[in-house]
Amino acid sequence: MEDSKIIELYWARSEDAISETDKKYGKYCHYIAFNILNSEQDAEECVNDTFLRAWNAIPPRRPTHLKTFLGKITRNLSLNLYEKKSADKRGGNKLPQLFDELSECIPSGCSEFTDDFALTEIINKFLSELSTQRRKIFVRRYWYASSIKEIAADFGVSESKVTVSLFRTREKLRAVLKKEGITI
Amino acid sequence: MNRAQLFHAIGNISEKYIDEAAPDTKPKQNLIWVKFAAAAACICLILLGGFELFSDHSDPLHSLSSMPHPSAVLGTGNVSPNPNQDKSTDEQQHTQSDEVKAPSKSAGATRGETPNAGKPQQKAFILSNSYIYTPAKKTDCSKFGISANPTFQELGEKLGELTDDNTFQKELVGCEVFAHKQADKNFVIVKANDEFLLFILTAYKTN
Repeated sequence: MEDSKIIELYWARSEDAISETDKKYGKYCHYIAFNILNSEQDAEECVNDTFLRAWNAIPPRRPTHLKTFLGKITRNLSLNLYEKKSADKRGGNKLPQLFDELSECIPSGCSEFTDDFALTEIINKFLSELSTQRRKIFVRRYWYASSIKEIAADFGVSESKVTVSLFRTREKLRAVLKKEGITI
Repeated sequence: MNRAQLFHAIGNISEKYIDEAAPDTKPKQNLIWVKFAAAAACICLILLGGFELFSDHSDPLHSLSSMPHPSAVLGTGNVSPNPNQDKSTDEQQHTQSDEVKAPSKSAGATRGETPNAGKPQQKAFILSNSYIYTPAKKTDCSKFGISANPTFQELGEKLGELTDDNTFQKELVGCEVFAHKQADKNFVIVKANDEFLLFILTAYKTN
């Protein structure tokens, strides 16, 4: 079913909206949640919460891109659950590695930087200047939290090439953040 | 800024970049039925091939119906060519003008039979379930030194009558077949009403 029809079901308050969303994007949302949480049960819970959030958000919202709209909700919910579980010391062990990698991008001597919107804009501009493949690899790693092995398989390249690509992209991002004066 | 903040900021990047890098998570179609259908088709082909290979080709109807001309049957291994016949008859399709006498459609029409218009006419018949005859050509006649226009005097032993079982040419059904006095069974004469049609032995069915 087309996204516009699914959104119409939400607006009509038809419960078919949830089942159609699950049918079309259930696996996509599960993929994101599982990558962050590393738990089948938690991922399932996050996906169900995603559908509930979508049900509450539409209407009044009418997302132009339902897939990424749902993906963002799933990612945020998964991160929240991850942080909660980390606090309880029951979390998975995948995100710390990603955080460690991203910490390389942060220029030293940074102070507190709270303008998330400005930061996102800088990252968007940075991504627009990357080659398509390098950008896809970066987004797969740090947005979808995909493993190096999986990215290599999906893009038909070696794992070492993915690792090198990510390393260089992080170095570039670090330089960009420093240049933008994010002396955080 | 800390690394978690950066990770959250990445979470809000443009949707086009998120979509562009999206993994392929489309539900895979269940292809079991496709595989099953393909396997069934293969089995059918094998069975058909086996049936064709081992089926009994002794049935003259089968042999003749599947071939455009009896001489073409020679390649099947069930039939041997008549060594006495001019080889050109094996290689060329008989033409109306080259045949000694083409059976006239009026012959069948006078017996009240409907010419089989939609079906290719097989100008051939089979005798004794073994001997395949096709219309004789002038070159065949000259080779054997016999007249291309047989007459009553040249009729030899009566060999039988043509039926639906041994010819596809409806016009010939019911006609008597005689051996040629001079050429024995290498040539036969079919008596169709008032006409005498000359046929040559083209091939033997060896089974």
